[in-house]
Amino acid sequence: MHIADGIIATEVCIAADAVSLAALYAFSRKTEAEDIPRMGFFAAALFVVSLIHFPIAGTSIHLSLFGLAGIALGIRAFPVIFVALMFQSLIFQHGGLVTVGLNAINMGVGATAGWLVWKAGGIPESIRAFAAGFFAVLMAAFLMVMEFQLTGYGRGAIYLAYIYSVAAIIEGMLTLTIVAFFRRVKPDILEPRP
Amino acid sequence: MIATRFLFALTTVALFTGAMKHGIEVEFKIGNPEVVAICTYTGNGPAAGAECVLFKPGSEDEEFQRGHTDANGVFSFIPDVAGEWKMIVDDGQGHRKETSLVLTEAFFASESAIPGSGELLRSGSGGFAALPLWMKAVWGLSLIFGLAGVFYLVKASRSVGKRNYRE
Repeated sequence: MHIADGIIATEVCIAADAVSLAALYAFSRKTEAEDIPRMGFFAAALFVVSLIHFPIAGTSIHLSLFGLAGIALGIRAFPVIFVALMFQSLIFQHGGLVTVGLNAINMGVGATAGWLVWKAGGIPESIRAFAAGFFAVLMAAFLMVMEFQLTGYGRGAIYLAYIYSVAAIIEGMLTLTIVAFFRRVKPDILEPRP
Repeated sequence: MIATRFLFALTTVALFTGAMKHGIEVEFKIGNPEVVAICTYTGNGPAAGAECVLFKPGSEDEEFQRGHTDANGVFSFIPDVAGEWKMIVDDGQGHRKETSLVLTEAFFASESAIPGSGELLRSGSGGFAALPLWMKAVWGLSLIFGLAGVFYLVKASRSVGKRNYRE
C-alpha cells in the first residue's frame, strides 16, 4: 500500500505533496494541546504496526490501522498518517519519500471513509467497527490501484483487488477487536473531539 | 496507561513475530561468471515474479538485461565489465528497490570454476541501514514522541499566552 519512489511520475507526486501539505495545515490548524498526546500515540501505533506483515499470493501485505485512526481521531487522522508515513519512509525505507504526499492522501481518504462509516447511526457498534477498518483499507487500496491503472503500472487490478480485499477483512477484524477492547477499558478514546 | 500498554504490546508483536521490513531487499551472490540477485520481502519470503531491470556501468539509459525473478526470487546475469551495476526490482504492487553492485577488475581476473559459490553481498547494508530493526523502531518511536512533546509545549504555551492576554 506504500507506493515507492519512481513508480508514479514525479510531477504528480510533487502536486500530491503540495495538496498534502495544504491538508496537513488545514486539519492541524484547530488542533488543541489536549489532542496531541492522542495524536502522538496513534502516530506511533501506525508507524510500528506496518512492521506486522504476512505473505499472501506471492506478495506481502501488512496491517495499517487507518480505520482505527479514523475512529479515534476523525479528521485529525490525516496529520497523524502523514507523520507516520514520513517516519516509515525515512527509517524503514517503507514507501518513498517523494510519494509521501500521495500515500498520505490515499490512506487519509481511507481513514476518513472509516470515520464516516463509524459515525453512521442505527447500526450495531461491532458492525461499524469492522466496516470502518474494512472500508478504510479498501478505499486506500482503490485509490492506489486507480493511480496504478492511470500510469499503466502494476500486475493488474483484479490481482490487487484480491490481495487488498483479504487485507481489508483482516484489518476489519483487527479494528473490531481493538474497538471492543477500548470500549471495555477506555471508552473515551473512541470519541474524538469534533 | 492503557494506551501505553497497547502501544507496547503492538511494538512487541511487531518486533517478535518475525516481522521485518516490508519492502524488497536484494542480496547478491557473486560467482564467476554469473552474479545471482536474490530478491526477498525481508523476513517474509521471496519476491517471486518481480521485474528486474539491469543497467551496465555508465549507461543508465540503456538496459543491459530485463527479466523476472523466479519462484525463489532469484534473478541472475553475467556481467562483462567492471564498475557499478545498477538494478531496479519492482514487484508491480508499489514495492520497488533500486540497488547497485560494484564489481572490480579483480572479479573478472579471478578464475573461480564453481558458479554460485562466491561471496554473498547485501545491498544498502552500511550506516543506518545496518542497524537492527528494533533499534530503528525505538529510534522512530522516540522521534515521534519527541515531536509530539514539542508540539504539545508549543500549543500549550500558546493557549496560556492567549489566556493571559485576555485576562
